[in-house]
Amino acid sequence: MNILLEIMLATPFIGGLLAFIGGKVHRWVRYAVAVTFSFLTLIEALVYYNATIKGVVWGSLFGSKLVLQTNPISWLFLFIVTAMSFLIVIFSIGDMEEDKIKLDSYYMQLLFVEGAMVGIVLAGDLITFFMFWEIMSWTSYFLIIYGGKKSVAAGYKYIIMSIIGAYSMFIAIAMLYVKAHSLVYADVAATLAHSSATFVVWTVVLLGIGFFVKAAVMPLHTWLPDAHSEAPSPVSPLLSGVLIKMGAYGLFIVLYGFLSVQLAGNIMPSVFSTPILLYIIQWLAALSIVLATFLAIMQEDAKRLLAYSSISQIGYVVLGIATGTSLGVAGGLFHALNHAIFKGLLFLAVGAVIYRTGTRNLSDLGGLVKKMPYTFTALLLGIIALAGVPPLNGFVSKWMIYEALLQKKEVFLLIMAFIGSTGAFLYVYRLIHSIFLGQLPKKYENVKDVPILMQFPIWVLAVLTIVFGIFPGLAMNVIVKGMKLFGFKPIAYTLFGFPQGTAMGALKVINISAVLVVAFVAAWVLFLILSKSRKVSQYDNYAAGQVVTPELKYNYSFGFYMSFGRVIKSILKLGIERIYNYWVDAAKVFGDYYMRRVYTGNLETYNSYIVIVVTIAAVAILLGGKLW
Amino acid sequence: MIYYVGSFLLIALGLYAVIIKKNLIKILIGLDLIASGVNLLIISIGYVKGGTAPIFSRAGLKASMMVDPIPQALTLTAIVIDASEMALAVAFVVLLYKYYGTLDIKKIRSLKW
Amino acid sequence: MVNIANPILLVVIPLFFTFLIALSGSFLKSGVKYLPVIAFALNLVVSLALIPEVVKNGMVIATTAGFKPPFAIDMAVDKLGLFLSIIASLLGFVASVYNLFYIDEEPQEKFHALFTLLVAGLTWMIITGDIFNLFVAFEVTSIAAFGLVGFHRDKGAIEAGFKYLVMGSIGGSFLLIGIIMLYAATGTLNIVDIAQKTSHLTFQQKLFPFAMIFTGLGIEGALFPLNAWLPDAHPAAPSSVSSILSGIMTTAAIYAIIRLTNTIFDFNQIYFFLMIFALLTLIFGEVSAFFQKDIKRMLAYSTIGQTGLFFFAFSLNTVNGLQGAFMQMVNHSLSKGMLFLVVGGMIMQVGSRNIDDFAGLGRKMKVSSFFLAIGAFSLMGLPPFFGFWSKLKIIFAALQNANAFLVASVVIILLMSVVEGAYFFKLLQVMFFGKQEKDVAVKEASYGMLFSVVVLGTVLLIISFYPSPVIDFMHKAAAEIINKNYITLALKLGGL
Repeated sequence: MNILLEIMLATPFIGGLLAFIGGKVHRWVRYAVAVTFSFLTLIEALVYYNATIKGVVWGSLFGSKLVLQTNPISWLFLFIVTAMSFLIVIFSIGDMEEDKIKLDSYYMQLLFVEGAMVGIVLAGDLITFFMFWEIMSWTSYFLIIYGGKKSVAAGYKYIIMSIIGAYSMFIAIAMLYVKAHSLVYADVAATLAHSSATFVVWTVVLLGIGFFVKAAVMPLHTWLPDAHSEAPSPVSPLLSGVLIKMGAYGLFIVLYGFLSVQLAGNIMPSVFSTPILLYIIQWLAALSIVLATFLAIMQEDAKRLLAYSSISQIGYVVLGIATGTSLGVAGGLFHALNHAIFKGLLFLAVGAVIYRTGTRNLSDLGGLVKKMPYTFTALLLGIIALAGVPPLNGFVSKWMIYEALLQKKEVFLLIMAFIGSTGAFLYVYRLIHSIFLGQLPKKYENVKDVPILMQFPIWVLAVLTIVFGIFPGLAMNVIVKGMKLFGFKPIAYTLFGFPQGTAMGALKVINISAVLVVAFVAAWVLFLILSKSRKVSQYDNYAAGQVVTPELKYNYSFGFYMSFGRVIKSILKLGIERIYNYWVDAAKVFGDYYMRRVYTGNLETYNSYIVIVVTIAAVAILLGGKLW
Repeated sequence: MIYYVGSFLLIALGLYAVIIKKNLIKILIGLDLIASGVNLLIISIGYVKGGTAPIFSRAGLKASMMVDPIPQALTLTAIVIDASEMALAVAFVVLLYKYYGTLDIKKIRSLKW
Repeated sequence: MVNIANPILLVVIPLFFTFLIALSGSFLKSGVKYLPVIAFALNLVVSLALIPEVVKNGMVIATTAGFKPPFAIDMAVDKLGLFLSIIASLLGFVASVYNLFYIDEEPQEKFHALFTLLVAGLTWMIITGDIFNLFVAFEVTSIAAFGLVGFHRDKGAIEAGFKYLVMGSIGGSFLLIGIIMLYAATGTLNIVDIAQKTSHLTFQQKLFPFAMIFTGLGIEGALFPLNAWLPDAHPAAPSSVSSILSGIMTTAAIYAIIRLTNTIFDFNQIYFFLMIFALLTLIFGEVSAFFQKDIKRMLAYSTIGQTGLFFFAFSLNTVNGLQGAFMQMVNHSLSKGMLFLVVGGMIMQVGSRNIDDFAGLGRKMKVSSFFLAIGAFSLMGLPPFFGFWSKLKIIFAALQNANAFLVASVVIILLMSVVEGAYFFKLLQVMFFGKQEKDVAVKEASYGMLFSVVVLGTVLLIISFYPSPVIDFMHKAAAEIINKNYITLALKLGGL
């Protein structure tokens, strides 16, 4: 049984290679191989449902064992990775067309990214973790820059920031290695337990920078909006839904696998009964939530909007994980799963729209509801889930995070989380309105819904939003069991929600849903009864006293939230990216004009360098081997 | 002692020429000066005052009366190497003059940074 | 049955072929180009045959002229020397195969003679046990390299060759001064013999020859600020030669510094200075590489950076550090050697060295680009390639007894790795995703050239995915050097 871990790890890589080779034969061979192997990985992952396996040694390096392991928390992320990858492979077959882009190695890289992420969640020591982390970085880089011209710049930014983050982790890993000569998780935890506070803080901060870059927590998020929006449609959900979750997973492992709340509390001061380190992380996450929501509201580009929304939603995940209480952490982990589902759904739905219309500019779209009803429905489910409205899945996890914050009496953070949630209504409304409602531009009158291969993954995800929305117990089953292993008090749960008298307070999604449905129906009935309105054609409108002809459409979807934008302008001006660019430019100028100009091309200068070195040596000799 | 000083002066002179002089030929002369200085240094290290050639040419000659033969062998090798290097360098200078039309090293700097 | 596991053969075979090529060039005409291939194939066989001997005894020593050392010249191959000579022979073999298809400029026989001489000199430098022989090998290598750099005889090549010659011969002179000073102090030229006699010298007495030798070898070994010839010379040379220069020559010079520093000059005070040299080399190399438009110049600067990296690892003066240095040497030799070969084929097709003209090559020259990507990844230290393991080792070793300075240098190294990633990814994205504006008919490089690339790439991939033998071997080699086993082994085996 344990050997299967290695097999599972190898499956996507083998599949990737076979897909590459098979693609030389025929493209359908490639598709078949890609689907088969991603499905195999999913099946192998399902085998480990709720299993805990410790320490499958698969090698050793520099005296540290290389270990694979799994536990329910790993399984949660494993499930996200494998399920999403499988669906994305299917979607890709419909979306990525041979004649548009060369697909030689697309599926290979897709499966490699999957394999790397499987490796990350299965890793039982930091070398394995770091190795697959780096593999994930560069393989996903190649996926991102499949998107064409603009995506190249985005991918470049992504890979450079990833490398910086990875090297930050690298220093921490090296520090740990030097201290303990073993990087197996248990040993790392033991090392940290006996280390000074400075050491622990440095380790966590350095590792955290690496995770935050990948999880796009502000202020390290600047790669994400570009990369996620410029990547090809099927890759965006992989990045947004799955890849950034690896940062959250890493954070969880570090905070609770290596450290623990008690240990962190012992070595550093606490604020709101939270160790200060966690508290800072909470604030970063909360800032991500609010600022990214504002930025998302102002976007004109559907995928960019969703990308900013991802930053905001991952903020909830990180906020939840950083609370340090059972409830909050469970909420954070659950939200990671939910976000993967609904953000994957949204990106795929938007991808479907792009597939048919060729644009992702919100102001160019509109009125597609009659043309693409299935996509519309799916997207509607997605945005309901994202906004955290019951009965869909975003609701419960967000509720848990609110509740956790409330119990810790962290009011400011709670308010920020609420703002993010309310802001989400603004941008998701914008999304569905601008794409599907309003007037249909003439050029899109022949648009059809997307082919079945692309609809299938969308529908699977749509069903999952409902399933996990109504039955949160399904996910809690895994999360609670896993968290027990990390020393958290288990929280009581039922299939439908949370029983009375527990930490959470009673919550039964099905009841809330029922109430909501009743209210909705009542409102509808009232609307029907009380309505005195007449039916107006969509094109029967006018502007400033002038009748608008059907040719000239009155579409107010550009600059939708302009007045709101004016209010928050001062916040948006912060421009973290500009600060980075400033420093990068300064470094470039320094390197260009002061450093590389030592190679003057002048032989005399070169020779005098030699003489200078000899002179220094001579001085050193005369001074008896000491220069100072 | 005077040999050591002389040889180091030669080396210093050569370095001076290599750094300060603009003319390619003078740079080559500088290189040769360095090489000669080094050769002189080698020879003077092996030198025994009043010693003879390290060959047992007559009876009663003891090893202590001879100069050290190894530095001389080394010098021969070094001279050969210097000669070949210098030949190559002169060939380069000829070609450089052909391309650049000048022997001024300051003007020969198309490769930089 | 002749015992072919004899280090002397490693030098004698290519030297013999050098003269054979030079002599037979007039009547063999173009057939002469096959001779280096034979020479290095033989060399490769010999160096591989040395493996069991070295593993068994720790060292193989061969003497010449029937005398015993220190009166005779000896060749001593220990683990490190063995590894480097295998790589030198491999690169020589691969590059000479490459030359069959690459060099069509006259005079061919002179090119092949010089090329054989270059690799012969390098191998000689690696395996010699005699310090004056080191100088001779150094000069043989240098002269061959001067000639090869100027081989194209165009404006840039001549200029680069001349600058290289001037700096190289100054370096040779300094090296000779250092060697002769050692001789003056100890009265012997055998490395092991010197090592035994230097112990009673004062620090200053040792420092003077060391400074001279360091300067001399540092010029060849591309240490900042002595490396100014390198970014001119490597691009100017034909690509197969660049591959040797970059892959083995700097490595061999650094190897010589390591060997002499550890065996002869047994002092600890100096390592801090070496570390500063290494960091400067790293910084200036990588930063300059970032701004290059010329691909070979970029790779040349990257060589400087890599040299800085493994020289840094050496200057840690610990077993782990040295192990990291050796691993990085292997990685750099294979990757950079391969990169220059790949790039040579691409330049042949595109007709330009400007990176922007390489746009879209990823689709047209798939095999070449694939191996270029692998080489670049390995140099950047991305997993699962060998560079990752060596970088891991170096950083682990650097933080072993960390003080503030070492931590700062680790940060610098990693920053420079980011810079390295920045320019390599820039190259890769231009190649794979750039649009070619000029409509040039580009096709894949010829099979012979690809063969060379594929061989090196395969070796790199094998040690990437199965690194533990190399890592273990390097650990033993490093331990031997740090523990001065070289001397005891050489004494035992009659190397004195």
